Amino acid sequence: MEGIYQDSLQPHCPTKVSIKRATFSARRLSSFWFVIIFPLLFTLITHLPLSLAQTQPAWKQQWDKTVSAGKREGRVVVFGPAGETIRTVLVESFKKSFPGITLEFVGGRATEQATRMRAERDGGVYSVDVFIGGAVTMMELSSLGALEHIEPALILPEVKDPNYWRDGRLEFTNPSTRYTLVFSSQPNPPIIYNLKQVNASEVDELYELLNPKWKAKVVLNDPLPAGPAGSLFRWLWRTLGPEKATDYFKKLRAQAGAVDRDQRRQIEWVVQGKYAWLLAPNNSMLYQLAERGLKFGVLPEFRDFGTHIGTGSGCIALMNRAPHNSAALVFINWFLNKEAQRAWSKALKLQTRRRDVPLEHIPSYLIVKPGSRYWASYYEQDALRSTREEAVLNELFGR
Amino acid sequence: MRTLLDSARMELAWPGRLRRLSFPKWSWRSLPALLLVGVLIAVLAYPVGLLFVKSFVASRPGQPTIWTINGWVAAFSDARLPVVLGNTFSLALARVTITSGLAIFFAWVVTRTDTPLKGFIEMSLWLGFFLPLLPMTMGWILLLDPHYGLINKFLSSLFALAESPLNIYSYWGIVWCHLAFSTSVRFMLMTPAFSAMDAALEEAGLVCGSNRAGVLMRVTIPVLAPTVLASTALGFIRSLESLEIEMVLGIPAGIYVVPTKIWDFVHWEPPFYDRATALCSIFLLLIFLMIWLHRVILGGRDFITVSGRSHIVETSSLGRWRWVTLALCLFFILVMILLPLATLVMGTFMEVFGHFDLERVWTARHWTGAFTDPVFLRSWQNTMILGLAAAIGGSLIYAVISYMIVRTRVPGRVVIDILSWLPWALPGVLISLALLWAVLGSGGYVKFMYGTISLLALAIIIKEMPLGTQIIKAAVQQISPELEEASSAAGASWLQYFRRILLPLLKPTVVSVAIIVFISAARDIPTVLFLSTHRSRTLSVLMLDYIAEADQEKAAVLGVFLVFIIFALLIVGRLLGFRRPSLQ
Repeated sequence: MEGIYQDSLQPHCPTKVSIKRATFSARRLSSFWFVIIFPLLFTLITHLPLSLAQTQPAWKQQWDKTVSAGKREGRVVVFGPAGETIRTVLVESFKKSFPGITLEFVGGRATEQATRMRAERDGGVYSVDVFIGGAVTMMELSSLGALEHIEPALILPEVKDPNYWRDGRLEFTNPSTRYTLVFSSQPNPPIIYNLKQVNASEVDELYELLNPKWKAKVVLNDPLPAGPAGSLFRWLWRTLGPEKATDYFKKLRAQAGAVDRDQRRQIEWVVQGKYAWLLAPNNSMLYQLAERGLKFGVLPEFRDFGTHIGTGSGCIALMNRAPHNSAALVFINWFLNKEAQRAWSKALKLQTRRRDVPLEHIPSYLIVKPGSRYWASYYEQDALRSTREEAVLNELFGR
Repeated sequence: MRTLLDSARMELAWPGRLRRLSFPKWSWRSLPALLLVGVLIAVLAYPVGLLFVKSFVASRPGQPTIWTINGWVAAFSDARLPVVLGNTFSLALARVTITSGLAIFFAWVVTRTDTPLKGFIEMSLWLGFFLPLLPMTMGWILLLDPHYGLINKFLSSLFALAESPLNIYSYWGIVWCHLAFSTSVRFMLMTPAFSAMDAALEEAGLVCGSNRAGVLMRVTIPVLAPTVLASTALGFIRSLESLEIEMVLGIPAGIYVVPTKIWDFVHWEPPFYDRATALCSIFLLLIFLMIWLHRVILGGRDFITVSGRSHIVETSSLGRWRWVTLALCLFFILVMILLPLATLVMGTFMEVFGHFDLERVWTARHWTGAFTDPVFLRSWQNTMILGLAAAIGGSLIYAVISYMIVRTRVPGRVVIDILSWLPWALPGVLISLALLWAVLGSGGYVKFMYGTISLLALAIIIKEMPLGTQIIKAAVQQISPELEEASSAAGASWLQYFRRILLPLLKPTVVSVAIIVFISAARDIPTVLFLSTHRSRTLSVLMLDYIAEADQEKAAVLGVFLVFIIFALLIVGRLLGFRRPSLQ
């Protein structure tokens, strides 16, 4: 990884070019000028290292310093989502790029990790450097005052430059505070269906889901706990408005043969034909199970209302009072670089917001398409349910 | 220890063999015992108290404390709570009633009768305890799902039925899936007491004209009341707290229980720990009721079955009935343990468990994947260290606590007795959270434990304390104080008595408890959830990684692997000579 940055340095190194020109011109000089030029050249050569360093781009100097300091710290502690793939990809790739810094990756549910970090901070313990998780958890951390501004931590040009990112901008969950950077976001397919029982055209509009023929034949992912269903119901609430949404939720609840929380089992039920379709499937489970041979149809979006975009665990934040601050900066810049983002995207089949990461490995239903209607669910102002929305959902889905 | 000796000598002069040894009040000699009381208060009462106190706090870190009862009001004002409570108690009662009968029957068959293949029956029932609950439930779903269950399909085609006859997603489906584990654990806890009982008592019953069943009901079970009651209390509270099977089978059936609600609150984003803690107070009240009942039922009665006199451990001859008991045992083992186990092992070799219509149905990649995971070895080592530390440390601590409660008059022993029940009030995830808060909120001399395996071991020891203490306490109640008096009179120190007389007599019970603690340490995810780190990751946390990626098959591989390792160790142990006294 260090090599990548050295390569990118070459075309922008004016110092070396100017030295070559100076040497070439000197051969043609008269002895008179030689007497004048020689001492100048001598001075230049003897002070070459200093001059070079002084003319290096500022980011490069900062980066070298940060990497050296990171190596002295020796390790970086990162809290992130649970999963063997993500753990292996991050730990092994980072080890190859920065063998002098150990990545201690602790995977788990974001809410539990946030609870743990809050307890640590209450007790005056600061063990975590970087947090990778979902938007709501980041909001919780931000409200605890646990986050550092992440923009100053972006050192490498190819990470910092907005042109490398989708829509030509760095995306934050709160554009005014800019604590949490969204590095990955993708559309959430609202429905998956059994290929024998359902034709896609029968469920590709929002209100078609209320067709009496689906009565008791469908399964809903429970919207109450954290997860994709919560995000989908929030989207509907915002899109339809409280009155229509309340009515729609009631009718949808009446359609359900089951409201379930086991996100793998729901998909299996649809594949086995126990239920015709599933509302709000879990993205990562979809591709995991599809890769293993399960067959089901996916509706990428409703024709009339589009769908919602979520981050999953696609947000990153730098913790304040990070015990390994320099190593944390190295990790963040490495992680947001093209290569690491490609590794992340390939492993999890999720779309990163970097433009230069290829998409061919990602299922088409998880790729943002120009012209489609999307509602971004990850902005702080939209992240939590209103009291009324909470009450409606509790009444319908509470246990 | 001199105090104990002195007291023991005094005891010899006093009438009544049940009189307890007494410590002089506030003597420095009772300092070790008082220290133990202090430690228990620190590791049990403080974290649990902290959890309850924090359930009334709503302020953010660094801000002035705001006290509120909102969490409690929200938890208890839910209109569905009475139905949920009804489901919880009803399911627990059904399970306890059935498993009590089964466990007593199996313990009696294995220890007090001449039924053939007793060793096989005992080992198979132990196997039932080792089996991982969730994957086993997956096995039952594959067999009994009303839509695609293999047994349902078979029965439907055999009898040309229009609808599936069995439904695993039901009240009785939940009870059914619990039977193997719940019966096995209660069998394990009861067997040592059954085997240590003097057969002369039963023979006296027979001589007086009672039949075998009458002796079992009127002599054996009443004499073993402490063990039976402790194990029933354990079974009842464990049933109330049971979550996994209720989550998997109950939610699709619309059957919700208190643990499901607690799970809801803990998994909210952000979580409602205050509401979850509030609901746990139901369990706390229940536990106080249980302690009171325990004292009322057992108070002032004598349950000694192991005394200084020699006693008979012979088994009774059942005649032809022994084939009936054998058939019943084999039927249970075959249907409840071996059938789902075979399904589970088969599932670990399937690409997706239960899907026979894929292009590639069978694979060994879950096994190779699990064992080639770069963190497998370290997780395995951590698990073994954690399991051994919790099992050895826990059993010794439980034995000392039990002895103090039953045999001494240490100031505060009633408090210890109550405290030892306390962890039953909380699910594993809240024990984990309470310890996290307690350790991080303490001084630097305690904080060093954070992130180490020692803290994980402490969490497991605390979680299993009610089980360990109540069962060993019941076993201590069966041992006559005469033995201690005799050892004291012969000049032995208290430590010598504890090490050379009490522990060997308690060995079968202590070993049972140690194995349960070991398994809990190896498998329990919630209790170590907030406490494990990159360096102290165990196999159970590794399973969480696999489950997060929809790879339950790989998680099941680790579960099956643990079962086989522990079972192999048990068999080796038996071959090397460890047996229950009755089998020696």
